[in-house]
Amino acid sequence: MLESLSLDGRVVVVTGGGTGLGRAMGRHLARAGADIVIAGRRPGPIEEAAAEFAGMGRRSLAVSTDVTDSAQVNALFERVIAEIGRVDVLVNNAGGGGGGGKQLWEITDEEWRAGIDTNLTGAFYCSRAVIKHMVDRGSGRIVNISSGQGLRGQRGSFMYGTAKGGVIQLTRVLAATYGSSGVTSTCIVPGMIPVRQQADDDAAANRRLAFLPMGRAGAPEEMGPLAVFLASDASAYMNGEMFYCDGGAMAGGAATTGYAPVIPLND
Amino acid sequence: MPIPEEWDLSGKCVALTTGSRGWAPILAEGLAEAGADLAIIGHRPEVLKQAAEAAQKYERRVVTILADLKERDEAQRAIREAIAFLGRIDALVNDPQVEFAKPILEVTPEEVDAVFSRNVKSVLYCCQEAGRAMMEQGGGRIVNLSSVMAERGLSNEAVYCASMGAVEQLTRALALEWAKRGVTVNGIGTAWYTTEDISQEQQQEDPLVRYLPSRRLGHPREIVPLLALLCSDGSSYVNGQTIFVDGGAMTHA
Repeated sequence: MLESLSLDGRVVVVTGGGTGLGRAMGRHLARAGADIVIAGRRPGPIEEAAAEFAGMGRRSLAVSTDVTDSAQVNALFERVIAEIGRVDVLVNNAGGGGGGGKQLWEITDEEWRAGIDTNLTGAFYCSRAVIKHMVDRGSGRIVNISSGQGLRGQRGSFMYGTAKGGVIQLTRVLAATYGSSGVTSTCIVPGMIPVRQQADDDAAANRRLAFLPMGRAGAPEEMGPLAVFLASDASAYMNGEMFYCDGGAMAGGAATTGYAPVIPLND
Repeated sequence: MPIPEEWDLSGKCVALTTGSRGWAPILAEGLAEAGADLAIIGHRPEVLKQAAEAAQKYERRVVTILADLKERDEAQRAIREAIAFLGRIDALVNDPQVEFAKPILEVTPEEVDAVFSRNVKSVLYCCQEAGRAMMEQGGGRIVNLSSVMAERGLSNEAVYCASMGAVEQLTRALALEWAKRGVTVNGIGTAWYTTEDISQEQQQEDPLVRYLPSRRLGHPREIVPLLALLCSDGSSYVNGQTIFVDGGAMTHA
């Protein structure tokens, strides 16, 4: 029952795959046997990732792509299909710029569009560019990366939170529309998983970590097994669903580490 | 391909609680395939026997323990016997549930008690005893099986729905209570499943199946890889969630 986890010979496109969560997921996908196409804006990190995965014995290809530009996205998939022949899995991971800081009235039209484009429109462009290919083949997986901020309101997270909420709905509508064609769509919802090492003496950051249920942030590598599972045949009966990777943050309320005082039963 | 290391349960000790439905042999076999040694616990001798036979295929250590888990003393005894046999308890998988459907106005108090005892109390008591041992060991994994009926209503299933909702909430609350002690608590929610091999074509006669995005019923073997992941080191930052493996049922309008 576990051989369905193998990704031998599968072609996986990871957007934003040069760094952070995308890089960590790519590493696990490659380890499970997949050939990896890494799409990202900056050539440096994606070429580095391609070299790493090639070193693991996988075919890998770095394609410099800005996912907010639909012409570049279309060119990415045309090239992958021309050079490798097919796409089995798309991991819509590119995004960023969480948090906030600005008051709503200070946000310009351009900033709003940029935030939505980076975190939502890119996933739409990539899904649009590949879905027909998957439907025609009768199989495929779209794995979207959302965020806890897409489900709960984070102060000031207007573009990021709205876009990540949109990613969850995009997942569900893709699932409802193309599930019967053998193409499933799912979503990983990471909690606090910093991609840069934080200094041990960062007092403010350490205070925030104490509020997480497990008392620690997640590591990018902890996303890996979830990505392998959702990319593989082992998740064939999962569609439209979310898989949290948040140490329990979504299970609780505003202060997840809070506890009730002992209340004796007085029925 | 060898099993990815995250799914490898070799040397892990897993207690599986069972009920009357026919999933125990499939889950036991899957956990054994992933490498686990098993204690299979429940109140139906024939279920225990079938599950143990299915698991023995992989030559793991397997013990069956007959116990009616809705009684706390019995749940305690069973988990302690499991630990005594296995040496420790790395994961507890709870699937003692019984299904039940009837118009709510006809439901008797005995039926309410029976469903809640089996579906909720037995899960709670096993979590209590296993959680205590896991925290002494420094950590562990608990996986509670529930249903999409934890989050969606269904006519004639009010009692069952309420019991599954209780399991999902138990999962969330225990996850938070034990998060800093190394014990994670998660769930798998299933939907329209069958253990019979009915062709997909034949399944289309059921309007419900035609409504599912998957256009087919699920089979319990399809939750095995996720179950193994949630019992393993690979799910180290997954906690408090019931993950639905439902062919898209929850997603559909």
